[in-house]
Amino acid sequence: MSCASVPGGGLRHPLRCRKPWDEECEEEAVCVIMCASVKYNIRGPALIPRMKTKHRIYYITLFSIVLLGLIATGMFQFWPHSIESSNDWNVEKRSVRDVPVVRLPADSPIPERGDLSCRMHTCFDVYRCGFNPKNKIKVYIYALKKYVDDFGVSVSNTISREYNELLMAISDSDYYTDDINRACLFVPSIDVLNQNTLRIKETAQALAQLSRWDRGSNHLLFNMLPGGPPDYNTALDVPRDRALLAGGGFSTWTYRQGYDVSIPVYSPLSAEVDLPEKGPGASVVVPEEKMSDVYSILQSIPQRQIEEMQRQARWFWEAYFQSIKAIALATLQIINDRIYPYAAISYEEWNDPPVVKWGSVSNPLFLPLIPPQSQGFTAIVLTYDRVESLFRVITEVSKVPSLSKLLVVWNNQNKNPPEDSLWPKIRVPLKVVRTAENKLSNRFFPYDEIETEAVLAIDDDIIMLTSDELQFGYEVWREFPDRLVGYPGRLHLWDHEMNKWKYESEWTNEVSMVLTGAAFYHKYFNYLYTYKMPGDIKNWVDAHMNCEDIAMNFLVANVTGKAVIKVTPRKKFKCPECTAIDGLSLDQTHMVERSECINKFASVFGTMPLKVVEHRADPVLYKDDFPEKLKSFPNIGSL
Amino acid sequence: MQSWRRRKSLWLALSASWLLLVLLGGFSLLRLALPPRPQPGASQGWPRWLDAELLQSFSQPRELPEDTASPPQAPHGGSCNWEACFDTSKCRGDGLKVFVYPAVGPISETHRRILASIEGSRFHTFSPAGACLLLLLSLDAQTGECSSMPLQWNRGRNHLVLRLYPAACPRTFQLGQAMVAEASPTVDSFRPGFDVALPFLPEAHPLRGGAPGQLRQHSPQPGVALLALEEERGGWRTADTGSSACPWDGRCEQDPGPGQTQHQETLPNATFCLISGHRPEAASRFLQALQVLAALQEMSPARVLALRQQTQFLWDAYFSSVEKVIHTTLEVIQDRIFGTSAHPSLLWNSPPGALLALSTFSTSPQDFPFYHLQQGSRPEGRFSALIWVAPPGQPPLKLIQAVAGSQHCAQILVLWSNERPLPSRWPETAVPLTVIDGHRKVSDRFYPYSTIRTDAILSLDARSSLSTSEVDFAFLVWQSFPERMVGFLTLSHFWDEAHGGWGYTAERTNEFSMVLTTAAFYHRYYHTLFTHSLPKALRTLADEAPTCVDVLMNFIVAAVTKLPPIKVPYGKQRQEAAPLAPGGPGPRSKPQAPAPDCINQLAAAFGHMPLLSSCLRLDPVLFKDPVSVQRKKYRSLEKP
Repeated sequence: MSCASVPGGGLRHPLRCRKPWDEECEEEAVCVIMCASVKYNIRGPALIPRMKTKHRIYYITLFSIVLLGLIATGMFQFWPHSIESSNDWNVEKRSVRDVPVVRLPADSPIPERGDLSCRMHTCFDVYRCGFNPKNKIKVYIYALKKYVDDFGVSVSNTISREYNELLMAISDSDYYTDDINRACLFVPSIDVLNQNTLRIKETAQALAQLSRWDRGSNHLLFNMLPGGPPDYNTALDVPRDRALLAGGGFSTWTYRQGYDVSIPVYSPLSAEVDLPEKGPGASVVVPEEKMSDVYSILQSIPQRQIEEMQRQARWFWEAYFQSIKAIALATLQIINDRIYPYAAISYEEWNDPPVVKWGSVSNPLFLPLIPPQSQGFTAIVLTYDRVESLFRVITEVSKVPSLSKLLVVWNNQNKNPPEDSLWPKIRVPLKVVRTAENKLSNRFFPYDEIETEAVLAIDDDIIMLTSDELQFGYEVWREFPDRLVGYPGRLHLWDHEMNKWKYESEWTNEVSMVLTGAAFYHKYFNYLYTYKMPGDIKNWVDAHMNCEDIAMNFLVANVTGKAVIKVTPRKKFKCPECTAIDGLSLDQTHMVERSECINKFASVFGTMPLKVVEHRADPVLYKDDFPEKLKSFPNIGSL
Repeated sequence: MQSWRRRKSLWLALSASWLLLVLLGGFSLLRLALPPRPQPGASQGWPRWLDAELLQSFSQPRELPEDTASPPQAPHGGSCNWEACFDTSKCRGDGLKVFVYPAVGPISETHRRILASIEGSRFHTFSPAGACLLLLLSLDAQTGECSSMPLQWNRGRNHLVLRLYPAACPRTFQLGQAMVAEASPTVDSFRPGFDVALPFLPEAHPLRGGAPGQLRQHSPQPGVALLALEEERGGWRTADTGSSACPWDGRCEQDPGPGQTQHQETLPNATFCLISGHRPEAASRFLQALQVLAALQEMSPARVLALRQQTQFLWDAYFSSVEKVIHTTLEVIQDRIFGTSAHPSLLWNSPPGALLALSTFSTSPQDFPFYHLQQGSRPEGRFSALIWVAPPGQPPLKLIQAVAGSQHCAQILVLWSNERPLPSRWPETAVPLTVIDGHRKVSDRFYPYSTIRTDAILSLDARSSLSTSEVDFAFLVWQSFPERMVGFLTLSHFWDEAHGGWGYTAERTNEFSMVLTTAAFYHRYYHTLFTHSLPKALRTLADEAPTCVDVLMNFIVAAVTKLPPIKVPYGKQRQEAAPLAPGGPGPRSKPQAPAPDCINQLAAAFGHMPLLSSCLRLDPVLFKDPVSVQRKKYRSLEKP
C-alpha cells in the first residue's frame, strides 16, 4: 500500500481488518504510524524554514493541531474496545440494535406453505450455481435488518447468539460470497431457529420481501425448535414455500427427502459437555413396536461392532455436530454434494473416521475382470543411445503374439534417433517419442500413444527374454491386471543392525518387488506415477537417475495393497554390453543406493507398503513330465 | 530573532518527540494492553457485532425437547413408512421368509418361471402364516389377467406388490399398507424408505444368470467419445471433449453442429452416457449434456475409472437378471427388518455385493474373504483341516500326521461318513482332533460346522496324500488369495461342439478352471453359501451324483469371485497315480471322466457358465531353479 495517502485514508485502514490477528491488519497499523511520522519529517523541518517568521507559528500550530487531531482520531479507533469491555454501550456504530429498520405492511405478501413435493430438481434452480471449477456453491447472507409491523412493534427478537455464530461460520467459509448476483444459495439473516420466539405470519412476510426470494427457491433456513412443548411440531410452521429447511426434529412426514436437510437439535449446553472417551453410545434403530425387545436386540450386537459404533459415533459428533459451525458447514456440504454430485464426497468419506481407514486401501482397479487377450499390450522401450541392443530388443519383442504396438522413448536430446529406414521392420506399429529431458520418469509417462491397458516396460538391453516368456507374462498380467507382473524379482529386508531397510537381490525364497526393466502393468499406473506420486519421490528419482522401478513398486503396492507377481524362473539377466539390472545390481555402491531408495520412499509413504510373498507364476505344466511340444509355453527358463 | 528561532526549534523538537512518543509508544502500549478485537463494520462478510457477547441464546434450556420420542403420528393420507406399516414381529428367526401367492388362472411362461425362482430361493416358505412377507406378483398385463384381492390381504400389511413391468393392471383394490416394488415409480406415489424402485426390465431380460457387463477393460479406450446422449426416439448422439461447453447461465448461443455429434441407433461406445429421467425437449437436453460434458472433463481419471467399474459391478450384482432384481428387492426389505444386523454399506457397494455376502453369516466385513484390503486386515494365519472319510472308511493316519505337521494347522476335523463304526483310537496329534459323524451325504462335506474355528479350511478326502511342505506352501498362497480356492489337482471345462454342451476333463492340460475339493484350501464362508444360499435342488444334485460336487463348489466360488482358482505344485509320483481324481473307489490309473451332464445342469441352474480358465501355477520362488537346495525353503516339493 502506498504511504502517500491522505491522513484520513490512512486512518480508515484499520477498519478493513476483519480478523483479530490478521497479519495484514498489523501491517496497516504500522503503516499509519509511518505515514504520520514521515509526513512530519519531510514537511516539518524541510518546509518550515523557508516560510515567513510570522507565519511560522501559525503554520506550526496549525500543523500540530492537525497532527494532534490525527492522533486523537487514531486513538479513538482503539477506544471502543475498552469501552466495550467495560460494557459501555455508548458506541453503537455496529451494534446489533442499530440495524436498518424495515416496516412490514400488514397486507404484504405471505409465502405459500412449505411445498411438500419439493425435490432438488423441481424447486431448486441449479443453474444459478453455474458451472464452477471448484465445484463449490456460493452462499450469500442477507444483511441484518430489524422488521417491525405497522405499529412499530418488532416482529421477532434480535438475532440469537447461535444464529449469529452460524452466519459467521458461513461467512468465514469458502462458500461465502458477498456478491448477490453470483450466489446460488441465499441465507436470510432472519433468525428462525426457535419458532416460539417468532410471530409466524410476520416472519413469513419478512422472508417474502427479501430481494431474491422468488418463492423461496435457493433459500436456506435453519430451524432447531419447530414448535414448543408439549407437542413439538416436526417442522417449522412459518410458511416458506420452496425454501430449503435445515431442521432438527424432522419426522418422516414433514421431511422432504433429498431436499430438506436434517440436522441435530443443538443444545447450548452440550457444547460444553466433554464427551467421555467411550462416546455417546451407538446408533441402533429400534422400531417402536419392538421396544420390548430392546434388551435382547442390543445384547445380540457383537462386541466388535459395538466398539466400532462407539468410535464412529464419537467421530460423527466431532466432525459434524459438535458446534454450530460444524452443523452449518455440514449442511452446506450436503447441499453442495447434491448440486455437484459428481464432485460429491463419497459415502465412505462422510462416514468413515480416518482412524478406521488406517492400513486399508481402495484399489483403483477393484473390479475382478480378466481383460480379453485380443487387446494385446504396448511395449515401451526406454533408450538412450544403445541402438544396436535396442534393435535386438525390438526384434525379439515383436515376435510376441500379443504385442500390439511398440513405443520407443528416445531419452537422448543430443542425438537424433536413427533414420526411419534403419529401424527393424516389424508387424506392429512402431513409434518413437522424443523427450525433452533425459529423465527416468519418462518411462512411466502416460503417453497418448498407449492404446492398450497392458504396458510392457522393457529396457533396451533385455534381449534374453524369450517370446514364450513374454507372452506368458502377458497372460499372467491378464489374470492379475492390478499388479506389477515382472521377471527379475527383488526383496526388501529389515536390517536389524543398521535399523533400516535393505535391498536384496540374492537368490531368496521371497519376493516383494519386480524390476521394471521387464514388467507388465496397467497403464493407469503411469498416470499415478506421473501425477500422483507422493512427496518429492519423482524428483528424487530423476535427480539420482535410479530407483524409478522401486518407486513404481511402492506406488502400486501402496494403492492396491497387493504383492507383485514374479513370473518364470530366475534367469541370468546379463549380456556382454549390459550395465543395467543384474549387471549393475552386483555393484556394491549400487546396492547401497538402492537400499537408500527404499528407506527414503518408506519415509515419504509413511509406511512400508511392499508385500512379501513366497510364490512366483509358472505355466501350469512347467517342468512337469509332459511332452514339451504339447505345452503352451515350452520355451521358459532356458537361456 | 535568535532566541525566537531557538525557542521555536526547541518547541518543534519537543512537540516532535512528544508526537513520536505518543505515536509509537502509545500505540504499542495500547496494543499490548488491548489485544485486537474483531473490527466492527466490515464491508464484507457477516459483521462481528460489538454486542455479540450479549446476544441471547435461541432457546432456554427448558425449551429443548426431552429425549422421549413424540408419539407416532398416523400416516397421512395413504402414506406409509416402515415403522408404521410393517410388522416385523412376524420376522423373528433366521431371515426373511416370503410366501408367494400362487397364480390364479392361466399365467405366462415368465410369470411361472419367476414364481419357480422365488420358490427355489432361500427366502421362500409355503406357509402364509409363518411368512413375514407376502408377495403378490403383478406382471401379467399382457395376458389380461389381473390379480384380485388375495385372501390374507389385511389392508396390505406385510405385503409386497411386485410390478416388474410398468404396463400393469389398473389398481383393482387399494394398496393401502402394502409395499410396492415397481419399475420407474413416479416421485408422487413413491414412498421413500418404504417402496422399492426397480429398473425397467425389457421383456427379454434373462430370468437368471444374465449376461455379464459389457465392460472388457478397466479404463476407457483413448479416443472414445466422452458422452453418449439419449435422444427422443431411442437413438443416441455422442459428444466429444472437443465440444465446447456452454457457460452455465443456461443460454447457449452456438449450435451444437453436426461435426461433433452423430446419430446412432445403438448405444455407442462412450465413456459416459446421459439418460434423462423425464423427457424434456431434445434441444434443452443437449444443452444440459454439454454442461455435463464440461463437468465430466473436470473429472479425474481415477474417478472415471471407479465409476466405470462400479456400473459393471452394480449391473452384475443386482440387475443382470430378473432373479437378481427380485432377490435384491427382498434383500433390501430383509435389511430393513434386520436393522442392526443388516448389511453394512461396504457389503452393498463392493464386489461381490450384498446378495452374495450373506448378512446371516456376519455383518463384520473382516469375517468375509472379500474385504481384507479395504479393511486393512489380514486373513488369519491358521487353518482347519476337514477330512472326509467315505467308504471303505480307513482312518487316514498318514494324512493326519502330514497335515498336523504344518505349523499353520489349528485343528483337524474328521467327517466320518460311512457305515463302519467310528474307530475308538486316533493318532496323537499336536493339534485338537474332532470327529464328526456325518449323514453319509456328500453335501455334508460343505456344511458350516460350528466346530470350524478358523477362516481357512483345508478340505481333504481320506485317500488324498499330501506332504507337510505342500500344505504349508499352499496355505501361504491361500493367504494371498483368501477369496479363491487353492488346490493341487485340477479339472478343465470346455465347450463340446459335437454335443452342443459343456464338458470337462481331468486330463492334464495347459489350462484349468477347477480344483478338486478333495485337497483344496478355501474360506469357510463358502460352506455357508453352499448350505444356505444354494437352491436346494443343486445340493440334491450333488448328493445324487457325488462327482458333481467338485464342479458345484467351483461354480459357487467362480460365480462369487469372477476369478479362476489357483493351482499349486503337487508331487509328481503321486500325481501319476492320480489318487485325488474325482469319483468313488475304482480304478485309479485312469482319471474317471465324471458325468458330463452335471456341468450342463449346473450351467443351466446358474444361468451362465461362471468358470474361468487360468494358465498359471503358483510355485515357490526358487522352484526347480539351478541353485543349491540348501537355499530352498520348499525343497521337498521338488523331489522326483
